[in-house]
Amino acid sequence: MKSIVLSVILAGASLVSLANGPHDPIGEKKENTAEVKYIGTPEGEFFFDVAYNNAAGSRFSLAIIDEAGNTIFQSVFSDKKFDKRFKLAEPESYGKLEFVIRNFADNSVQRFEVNTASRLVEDIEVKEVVNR
Amino acid sequence: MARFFKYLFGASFLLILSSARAQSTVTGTGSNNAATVKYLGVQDDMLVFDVAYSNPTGGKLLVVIKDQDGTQLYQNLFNEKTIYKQFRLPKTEKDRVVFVLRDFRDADVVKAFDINVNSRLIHEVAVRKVN
Repeated sequence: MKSIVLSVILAGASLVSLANGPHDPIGEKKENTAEVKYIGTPEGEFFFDVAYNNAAGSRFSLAIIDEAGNTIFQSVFSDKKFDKRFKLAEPESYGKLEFVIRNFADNSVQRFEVNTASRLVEDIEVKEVVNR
Repeated sequence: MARFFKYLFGASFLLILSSARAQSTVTGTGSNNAATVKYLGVQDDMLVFDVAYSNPTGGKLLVVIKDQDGTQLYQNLFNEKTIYKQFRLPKTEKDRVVFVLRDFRDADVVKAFDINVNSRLIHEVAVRKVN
């Protein structure tokens, strides 16, 4: 079985940065609206910021499902302002992911589809050797 | 692996004889029959080099191409009055290619080029809400 590691990084300052950052603050979003954002790094790491405005503090689950339907992460939360960063350990292993947020209080489900494509880029440098 | 690339490099070596109309790339004329070797860029995944040599007397010119280990990849003798050849070499991860032009009169013209190929993977990610 393929080893799947999905780490969750919860930054304490994340909520502050969310409110002042480049993207829309949670508070201004429609109630119970979730958001999934991809954050790439030059090192090729895959981070996903998942934000969910759960004003009532209801229990909800977050599941991350791969292309084959395998659940690679699942957990239940009750944060009123959920904001967590997920790191995908083996991004090259996944062509497609789905984030599913299910609120147990109102049975609402929000799904986010993540499609990834990779391509190889070659930088070629040719330099004449001087004084050989 | 290096040996594999070396053989691949040698086996895939191509010589394209082009017409002599591109005389303008030849720099310098006169008794020393100035030669130029220019790297032109990548075309069809191959590194393209131009070799130009002004040879008004029609003397012999030996063109030798070697890799970083000194292994000979190509050799041929020419005697056209205007020599303009285009060489296409397969790229490897790291390599050096050396052009030696010998007219059997003056000192050899030796031009070496270091080739560095850096590969990187670009990820394109799209997130879409589906309900």
